[in-house]
Amino acid sequence: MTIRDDNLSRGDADARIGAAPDDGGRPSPRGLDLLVTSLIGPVFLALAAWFVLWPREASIPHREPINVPASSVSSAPLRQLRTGPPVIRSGGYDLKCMECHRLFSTDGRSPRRLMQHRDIVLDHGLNDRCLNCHDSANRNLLRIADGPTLTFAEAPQLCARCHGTTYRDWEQGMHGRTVGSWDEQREGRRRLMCTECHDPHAPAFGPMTPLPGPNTLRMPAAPSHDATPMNGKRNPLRQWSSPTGDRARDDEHRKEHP
Amino acid sequence: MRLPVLQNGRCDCSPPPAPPASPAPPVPARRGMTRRGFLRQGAAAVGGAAAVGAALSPLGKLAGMDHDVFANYFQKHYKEMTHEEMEQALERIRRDVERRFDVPATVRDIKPMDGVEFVYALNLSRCNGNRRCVHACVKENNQSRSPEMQYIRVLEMPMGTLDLEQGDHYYDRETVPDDQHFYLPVQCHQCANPPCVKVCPVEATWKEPDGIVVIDYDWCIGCRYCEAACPYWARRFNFAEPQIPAEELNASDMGYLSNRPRSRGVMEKCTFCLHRTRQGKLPACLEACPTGARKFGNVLDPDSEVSQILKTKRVFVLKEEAGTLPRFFYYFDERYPRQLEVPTPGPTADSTGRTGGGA
Repeated sequence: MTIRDDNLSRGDADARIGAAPDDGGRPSPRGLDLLVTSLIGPVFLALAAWFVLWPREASIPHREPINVPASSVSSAPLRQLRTGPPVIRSGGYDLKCMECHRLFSTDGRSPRRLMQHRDIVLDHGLNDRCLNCHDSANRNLLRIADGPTLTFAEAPQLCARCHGTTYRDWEQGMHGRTVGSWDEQREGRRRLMCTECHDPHAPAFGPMTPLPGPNTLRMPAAPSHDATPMNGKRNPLRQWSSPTGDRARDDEHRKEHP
Repeated sequence: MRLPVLQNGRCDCSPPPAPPASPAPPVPARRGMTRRGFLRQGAAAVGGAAAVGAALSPLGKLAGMDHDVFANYFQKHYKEMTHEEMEQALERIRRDVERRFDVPATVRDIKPMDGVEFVYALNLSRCNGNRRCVHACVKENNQSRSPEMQYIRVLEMPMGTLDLEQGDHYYDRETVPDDQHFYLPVQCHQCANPPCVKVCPVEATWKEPDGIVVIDYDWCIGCRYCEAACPYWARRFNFAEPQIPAEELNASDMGYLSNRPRSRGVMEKCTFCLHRTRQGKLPACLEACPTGARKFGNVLDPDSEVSQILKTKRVFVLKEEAGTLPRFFYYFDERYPRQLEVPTPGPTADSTGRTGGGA
């Protein structure tokens, strides 16, 4: 037996070639040449067929890409920064709060039924009085209850009166958004103010519509046809991996076995 | 050397090797060429030559495409390129973008800044799972639209656990957040002890001085070892030629190590938008985040936002036990957002409920 027998993984041709010297020169070196020569042809022909006939690109299905509008990933603040009181253009004049409010006085105490500003939804927890924040005497300003008046640009100090820990975090950059640059020294770096994200009248962050999730493993044809609709969208991964193919029942399952 | 065991094994499954049954006809002694021999060898030679030609024909297509292809084959490793060679490589990339997308491109090789190490921090109390970051990243970093690729995965996690196995990144709700879940975005953590770098057989990926783990897409052989080594599932592979609509291509700001277009068969991953952040800008995912959950900065600057967070918040990393030393930290605020507030379990509350875990 030859030494090559300990390597059973070798190909047949190789074994035969290896066997040749031990077997008394049969096939002879010349026959070996012939053998190799006649093998090269078919091998290369097979390779050629492979390259020419086989599809160049692996057959990975291409799907219509999700269309995510650029506006939905914009870096602009959610709300406009308000550095002064709102201005109403009327009859060629720019009217600020006091243009009306100097005509109406208020004792600042009794809650009244709103005749104006009814578009404002006041959903700020316990803070349900206009004059908790707005200055009674000068409506163009804000007021800290026991302290000085503030301009609209200084609103964060007013918020800080109740939201102390959040204000502290915001001051140190741990709460809220920073735009422009991560580098403190750079031009254009700015920390967004409270009211650029939160509506002061209803400050809680509302629910948002999520953008579409990953689609990498979604393949064109789901195996089970009846399981396809799922809120009008498809989630084949879950369909494939779940015995029921039903998302609601899967969720139930997860609730029972968290 | 004889190996009786093997020999026996072989004898069991096949008859003992008979003496070679003359696979080739007896060849006459060397005395000139016979007609038969001539024809046989000649036919074999012609056939072989034709086959070689046919087999190599794909190369002809390559050659006809562009001579840049050959220059790319002989391009050096990123770290070994001189300035001129890098300029030539960037010029080739520009031409490649022009050819593939018909868009003029600005491609640069931006070096790390001195005295800067980047760190990311993410406030899980604020993240509401809206996935703006995911798609801002896709646009900024020229990720393939089909087949689809996304660097960031937002896991929807049940309250009261950080077991990533329970996370679901395919969540598909009308609105987020869901009050039974919190949201955990995962992307490349730019580990200080990166397992992906260790396993790369060709050193196509490495850690830069500012902490970012980068990939030389021209050096990557696509073996996907790094993908297997990453405990955070942060690396992505281009199984097919990436397809990006030309009008959506971010060609105005391309980095050699970050968002230049990739080709089929290479790995890619989040680079903290190094073409932006090394010029002082913020990562695209952070800019797009409407909730302000994402924080980015220089950890070597003691006054930076991330330094403050590391100092004052109870930050944690994912899979700390893996010893990867991520540069991506998560933290919660002291207080849950209102809608996520979990009622304190009363004395009658059952101990197995989720309430107990989340409180």
